[in-house]
Amino acid sequence: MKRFLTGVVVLLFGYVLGPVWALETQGNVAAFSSYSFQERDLDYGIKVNFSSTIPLDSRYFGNVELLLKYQDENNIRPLRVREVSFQGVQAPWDETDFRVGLLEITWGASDVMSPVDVLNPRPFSRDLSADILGEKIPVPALDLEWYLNATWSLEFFYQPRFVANFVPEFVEKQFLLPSLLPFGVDPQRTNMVITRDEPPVSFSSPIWALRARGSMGAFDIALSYIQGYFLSSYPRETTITLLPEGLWDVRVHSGYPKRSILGLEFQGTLAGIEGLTLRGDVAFVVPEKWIHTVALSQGGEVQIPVFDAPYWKASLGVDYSWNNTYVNLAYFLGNLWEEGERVSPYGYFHVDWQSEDGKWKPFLNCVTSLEDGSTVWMLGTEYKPGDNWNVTLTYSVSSGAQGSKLGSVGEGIALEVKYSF
Amino acid sequence: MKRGIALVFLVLFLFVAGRVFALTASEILDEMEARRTQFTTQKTVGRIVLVDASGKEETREMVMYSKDEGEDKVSIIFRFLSPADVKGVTLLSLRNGEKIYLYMPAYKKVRLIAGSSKSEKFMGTDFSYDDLSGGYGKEDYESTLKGEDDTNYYLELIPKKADSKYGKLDMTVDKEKFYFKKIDFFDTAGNLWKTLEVHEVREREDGSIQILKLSLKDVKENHATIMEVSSIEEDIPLPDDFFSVRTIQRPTL
Repeated sequence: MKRFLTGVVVLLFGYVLGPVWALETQGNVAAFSSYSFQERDLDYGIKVNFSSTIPLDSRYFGNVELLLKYQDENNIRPLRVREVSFQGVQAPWDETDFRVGLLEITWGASDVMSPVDVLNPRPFSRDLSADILGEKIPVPALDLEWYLNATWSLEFFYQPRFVANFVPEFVEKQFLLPSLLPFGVDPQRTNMVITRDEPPVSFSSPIWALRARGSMGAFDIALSYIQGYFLSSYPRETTITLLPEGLWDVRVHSGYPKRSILGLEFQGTLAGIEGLTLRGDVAFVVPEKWIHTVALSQGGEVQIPVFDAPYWKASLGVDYSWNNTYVNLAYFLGNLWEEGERVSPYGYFHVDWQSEDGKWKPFLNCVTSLEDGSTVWMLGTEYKPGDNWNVTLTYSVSSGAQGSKLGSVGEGIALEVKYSF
Repeated sequence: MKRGIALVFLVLFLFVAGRVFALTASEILDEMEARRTQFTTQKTVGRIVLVDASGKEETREMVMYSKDEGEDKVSIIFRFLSPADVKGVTLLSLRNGEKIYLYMPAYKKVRLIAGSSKSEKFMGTDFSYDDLSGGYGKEDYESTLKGEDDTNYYLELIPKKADSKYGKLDMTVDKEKFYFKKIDFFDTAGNLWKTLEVHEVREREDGSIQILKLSLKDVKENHATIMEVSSIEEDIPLPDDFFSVRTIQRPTL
């Protein structure tokens, strides 16, 4: 059945997009697989990235970006829209550019992850590859940038409908159940039902953001403000009931807390040190006060604060390149999923070297939790056998105690073969 | 005896006259500079062929906009049109690489890069930013005329800058049209490093010379770059803020 559905999707894909193929079209096909030594699990799939720009006249364009992804598990939807938008360049006024539609917005100067790049929700993945970390879910929005001159601009983002991160319910339960252990709940004998309140986002009460960016000497900087909601849900009320047959019935009512984010982005070079670039993003997050109330089976309730104070997130890095070698060293305060009191520090190191003929590019990535010392190492190489072909082989291994930040990543090997068209 | 004296005078005259009417190295460079195409803005469409040590070729089509900012500074916008894996990748180099930005459409992000090291390779080619930044004027080089024949002048240029990566350049200049046909670049140890050859030029009505095809071979790395121009437009009207981060994010230039 799955194969049949995939076939239908491929046919639809070809049928719908065939007529625009002749336009400004590009994309890639990637076959990927990974094997986890601990779980003895082979994960594999294929994906097609496709993007097309349709010039309507010299200033207006239509953009379509699609991701067709077949994966043996954790597949959210086989056909995902990455972006469908109407774009204006020097439109409607000479000083403005805009995009409207289902958009992917990228903010932040950091290379690996940015605490200000939070306008788009993300699909779920257990994989830590840069390719996967870059995947986003588009949002219905307007993005308009007003250029004051050649170096300074003001960007306005307006989103009238809320879209959340995609987290499979079984994963959400895996996260919630351990937090109920102190109340005597046996995860093996628990029936959990989760309901969620959507934030009241509308045309008159939108998610919105502003960003001013420009250049100051050797540095480019941006200041931003985001008014919106967390993209993952947090429990607000939980009712625990012990049923007569010894089973636990847990009803969780979740919601999406409001948040404001004040952001700073910068990237620049230092005079006298050729090849060196500094980049960083800093976010000051002001969350809505959020209390998780747990009504216990034996009566009474417990209140657990989830968010009750502002906090910082950051990504600060330096990269240096010389003789085909590239080194990146960074400090993260908080990863993509950590918020509030869970925010913790990490160190990141990347080095790659490109062979003279440009075919080989071995690399090493390392992420360490500076809180508990758990570490993930990723060693691999990219290989370019010919024009438009790219092969990436990665071996990863983690160290750290059970329950540590990165220790559970385990040991695995991954292979991706990509063809660009 | 008289005949003998007359002959000596004739020889002396020819010798002195020859010295007077032959061009000096400095004058040759001046004439080359005068024959260089002068423009404020330029749009070039063409292709770059990278040839590796085994002779395998990789072709990239490109469009390039450039602007003379004065003071020997050039700003460039360079976009790859093919192959597919780099299509749309766009580079903005402001004022000879004082600031360099790279836009990769797949990431929807403009990245400031520290490629300003003037000796680094430009976009994977054998050209450095220095190589691309313009001519070989006497303000940057000490020049000596080493010889000439019916068709060419042979010059030796020594860079005036102490930090130059080149020790000297041997330049072959076309006697009729005053453009360099070939330049051998030597490193500071005196070893041949690169050879630049011009394969095709066009002489415009005003006598200036446009280079349409050239190749640069890196002898040390056994790698070569061929640049071929398919069209050139000069002094095209471009807005003041064209060479900006805004422009390189556009779907079309």
